[in-house]
Amino acid sequence: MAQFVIAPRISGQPAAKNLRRARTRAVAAQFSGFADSAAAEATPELGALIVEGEKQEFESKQAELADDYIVEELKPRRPSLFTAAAASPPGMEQLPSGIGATVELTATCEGTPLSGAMASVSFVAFRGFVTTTFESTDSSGRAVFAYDPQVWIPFTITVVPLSRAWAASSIVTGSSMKMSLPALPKNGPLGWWKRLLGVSGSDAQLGEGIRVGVVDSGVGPHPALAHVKKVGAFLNGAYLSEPDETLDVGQHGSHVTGIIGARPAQGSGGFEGISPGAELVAARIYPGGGKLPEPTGFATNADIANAILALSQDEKCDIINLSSSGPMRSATETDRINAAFDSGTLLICAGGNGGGPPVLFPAAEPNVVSVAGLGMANTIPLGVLDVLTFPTQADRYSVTGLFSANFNSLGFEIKTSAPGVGIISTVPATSTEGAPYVAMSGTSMATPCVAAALAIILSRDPQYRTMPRNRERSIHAWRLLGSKLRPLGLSLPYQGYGMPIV
Amino acid sequence: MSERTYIVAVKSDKRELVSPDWIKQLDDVPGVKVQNKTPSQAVISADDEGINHVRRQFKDSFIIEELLQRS
Repeated sequence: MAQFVIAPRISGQPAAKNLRRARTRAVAAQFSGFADSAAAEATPELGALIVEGEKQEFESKQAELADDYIVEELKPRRPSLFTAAAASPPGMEQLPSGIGATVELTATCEGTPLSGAMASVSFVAFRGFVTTTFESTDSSGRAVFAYDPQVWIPFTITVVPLSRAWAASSIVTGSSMKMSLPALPKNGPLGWWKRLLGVSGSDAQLGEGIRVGVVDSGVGPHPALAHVKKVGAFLNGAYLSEPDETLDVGQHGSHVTGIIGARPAQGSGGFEGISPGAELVAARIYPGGGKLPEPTGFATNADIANAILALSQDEKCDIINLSSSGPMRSATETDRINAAFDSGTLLICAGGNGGGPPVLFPAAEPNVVSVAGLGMANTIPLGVLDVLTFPTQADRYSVTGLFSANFNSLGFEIKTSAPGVGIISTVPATSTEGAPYVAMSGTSMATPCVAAALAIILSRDPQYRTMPRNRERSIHAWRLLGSKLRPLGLSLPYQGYGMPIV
Repeated sequence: MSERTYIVAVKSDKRELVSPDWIKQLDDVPGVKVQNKTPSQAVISADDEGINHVRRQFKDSFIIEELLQRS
């Protein structure tokens, strides 16, 4: 069976609309009983019929039509986007991967190849369309992007390394691009974000006695995160309780967890978490198996709700860090957040990276501490990707050099702000690197800064630690946090009530 | 008829009022298929008629809403 289009020829003819209807009805009648189905559903106003039938039978019928009908096989059309998926739509002939030209990237850091990095090239079409295609670098740090030079012009190339180096972006200046990425600093345990929050040195006791849950893409393996309790995965409404199910399906969860409480071996040069004394409990809510740039796939409100319930009721966490969000409110999430609040568990939620209003959910819920991200101008090398988080509006900069990052979702629901630009933390070990670190930016990174600061604040409060697990305990925690917030001189939607200083 | 994915979650303040076999009752609704479940929540696929039936039968003690993406 094949599909054919039959349309009356109307160009250059007067009264085209009425003619088109009449002719289309006529041809529909002519084909009724022969063609399979589509003719019956044809809309005469549109002037074209899609007819399904055997090719030979169709050709004999076609001879009966007058010359002023266009008859041709149905031809698939697809969006003019250059993506890996569009290159091989189902049911179409496979196009060769190289269709004219390539951009070849070689990425290195301090002279050694960056393997497994996520590389992307953005292309602009002559008509103004823009698209981005993603590849992973191979063991020699190489990635190749094929494109049709008659349609697309490559204009920027971006490399996000798995570890060791800052992410960077460059204008495409030729078909062979060599990018040498700046190495991350090896400052030992103390990052600028820790000093800003009032942590002046390495102290293994910080946050001791406080239990912090992390609901994210999983955790580890990483030697500095070996102490984290792994409670399994919540996926599409199911619970997988094996501890190994908690292993990170990306990097995000390990990074977030490390910001709160990584415990690197002494003298390893690794960055230490803000509250390394806190007890950490991790639950995975991302399925993994996604494609670049979202290898973790997507989480759901169902799994966030289940994970909150487990970490609050079963694991008795004092704080839950949630660095995930979405635009739609979920009644199930709200119910579990409120139940957690009533059981003495306070949620710290990322406000979202929408780059403007509104604040995303569940951060916009009243019973959570919603967080926006801050940057510090002199902490990031020029030319790296994180520089793109610097805002252009003067009112987003404080006199101290801190700024409200331009990725922040903005609104009066924002309650606090914390460092979230160029934050260095742990990511899962690979076959080549046993204890890797990487820099990331986002409200996802600001949120664990607040969670960790709160863990330190709560661990120093004798009253909190003796309180029963109820609503008053959550209110007490929120009041303690509020008392430690320092306004930065920015407006409320940018900074909330300020940044916590322990 | 179009099928969609929904959450049916026990309201936190109604736990004591919920029948222990609520999952089975849910599964018995025509046009509803339970995909996954925990003691307090089920993810189901349902057609329009099925979800309307679920809303009528379960609305007092359960939250019923579409599955939403988070990232």
